[in-house]
Amino acid sequence: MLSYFSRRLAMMGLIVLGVATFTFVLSRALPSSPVEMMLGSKPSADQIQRAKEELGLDRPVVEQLGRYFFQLAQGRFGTSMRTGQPVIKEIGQRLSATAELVTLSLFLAVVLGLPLGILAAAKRNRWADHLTRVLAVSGVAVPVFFLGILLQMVFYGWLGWLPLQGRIDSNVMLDHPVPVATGFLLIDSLMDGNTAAFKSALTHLALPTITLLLASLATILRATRNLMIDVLATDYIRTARAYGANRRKTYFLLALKPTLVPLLTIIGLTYGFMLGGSVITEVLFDWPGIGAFVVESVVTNDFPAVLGVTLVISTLYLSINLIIDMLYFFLDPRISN
Amino acid sequence: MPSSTTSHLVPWLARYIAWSRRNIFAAACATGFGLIVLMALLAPFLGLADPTQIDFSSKLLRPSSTHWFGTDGLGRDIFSGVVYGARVSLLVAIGVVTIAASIGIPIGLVAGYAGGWIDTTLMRISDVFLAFPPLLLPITLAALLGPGLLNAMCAVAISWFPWYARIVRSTVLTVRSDLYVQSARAIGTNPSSIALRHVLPNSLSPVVVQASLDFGFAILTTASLSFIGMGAVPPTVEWGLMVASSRSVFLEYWWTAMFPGLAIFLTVFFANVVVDGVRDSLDPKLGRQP
Repeated sequence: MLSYFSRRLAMMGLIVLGVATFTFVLSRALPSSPVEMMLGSKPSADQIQRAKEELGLDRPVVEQLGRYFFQLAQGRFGTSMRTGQPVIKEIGQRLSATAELVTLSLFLAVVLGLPLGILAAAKRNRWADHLTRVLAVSGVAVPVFFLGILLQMVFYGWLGWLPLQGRIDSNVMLDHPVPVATGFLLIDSLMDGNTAAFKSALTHLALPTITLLLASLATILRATRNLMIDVLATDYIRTARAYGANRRKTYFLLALKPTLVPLLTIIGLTYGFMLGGSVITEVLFDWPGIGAFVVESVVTNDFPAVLGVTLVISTLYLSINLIIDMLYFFLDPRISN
Repeated sequence: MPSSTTSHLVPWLARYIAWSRRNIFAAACATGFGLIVLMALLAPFLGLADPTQIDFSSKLLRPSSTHWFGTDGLGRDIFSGVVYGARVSLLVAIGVVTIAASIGIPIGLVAGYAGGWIDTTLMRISDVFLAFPPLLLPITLAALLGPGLLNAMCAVAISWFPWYARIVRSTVLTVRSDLYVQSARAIGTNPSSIALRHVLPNSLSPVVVQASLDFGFAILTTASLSFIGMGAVPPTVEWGLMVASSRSVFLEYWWTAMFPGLAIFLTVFFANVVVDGVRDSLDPKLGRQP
């Protein structure tokens, strides 16, 4: 098992290197030159030449790539041309905002998706099943940005219950500052006993969370339903029923257990979708996370930032896939033996 | 109508009617999708206002009998935008899956049929493309290629081709050990001819399934790119772009976002239901449940 995972880890390292090479070479093929962006609208030929030398852009691409890898090995991701900050610092500041949003969404999607999927399987082809089917088909068909706009219209525009965008009220943050411990505002404010900040953070989280989770909820719900229907038709469930095991035990204990392993794959997949969906959600809700950072960097041709953030997000994504594969070993006795 | 055509048509129609009786929901969605396709085809002949015509004297008008879906911040008619947008979105979806498949199929065929180091190299390159969470690679590529709908389409297709390559490769691996391929090899047919004439045609049906499943997703992804400014640019009439341009006004003027957004939702919804329905009725494993 150990050798298997060290091989997987080495493979992942190679893929990350591949990603770094790929994005770097692509960024050098960029039609809009980063030099122009740095120097403003009308630089002289001399200025351009000097800036190119400064950035090392006059060297062959292979040499530039070598330098880039050397920098990466030292943990240096370059400096954002837009903000002048080290890219890794920018990412670090924004990672917790994305993590809070994605974690909460995934948690809710699983917590709601499993029971609803079980319900749909138990009430197969009855109205509860049909209702969840419509929810599931809608959930994957609605564009994330449109769902977010609808929620903003209803809960901010018409009802006025929830804030339009942002992560927390700036007034609340000024009057009741939250000390940073985990980076998750909900947890930090709760640990601090800061109810004003907690309430503000929670109301700000509500709409982006719903926006982000619907597609995943739909996917998890339908997968649970379909897996459960297969399991419910097996002999051991029929036997358990014949022996008079109560319904709750049958559904939640006996039938759910074998579905958990394939569900793990689905949950891992939806996590990846959430990382992608968070880009749109963060732009729409002005959420200060790495998804919004991707778009800001891409729009302004801030290529060190694009390279850095792409590398970080894909490494995260690959790690999650690896962790899920590792969990198989612990969950599925057929693999671990 | 000549009788030979009707004799072909009628059983087909009868089967469709029998199918829709059993699947009322799927049939309704198929009709809805058909209407959208019809709308896209007939757009120039419907006598609609020019969807790109800017008219500040009639900006942000409520839906009315002259402007069924109202007008946007530049006074453009939203109804004709929605109708013309259907052409763009449907073409984009067809374009994305076609480009993705035409990059993926040759790569998968070569990898699966040649095997060895060629296979390993091609698949590892594909792995790099699969190392990005969905949407991240299209965004990056679209940014590098520059704005425009065609570039966005290519960006999505380039991000998706590894899926097609993988599907083709895995089918090719099973097909290439089939008896007819072995016999072709035994009689000395040259390898490229075996690959193209025997293996490829028998490896395509999973690709068609995948392409139809991706159809709706292609519409969603390119609309998302347009929404964040990485896709269509004016004067292209695109649904995602229409929603994006409503962002500063939609809280007061709901129709500016509602109708183009609904158009995307319904098109993808109908397309997905139809694809699922067709796939289920073609899949012999699912069979007909009593």
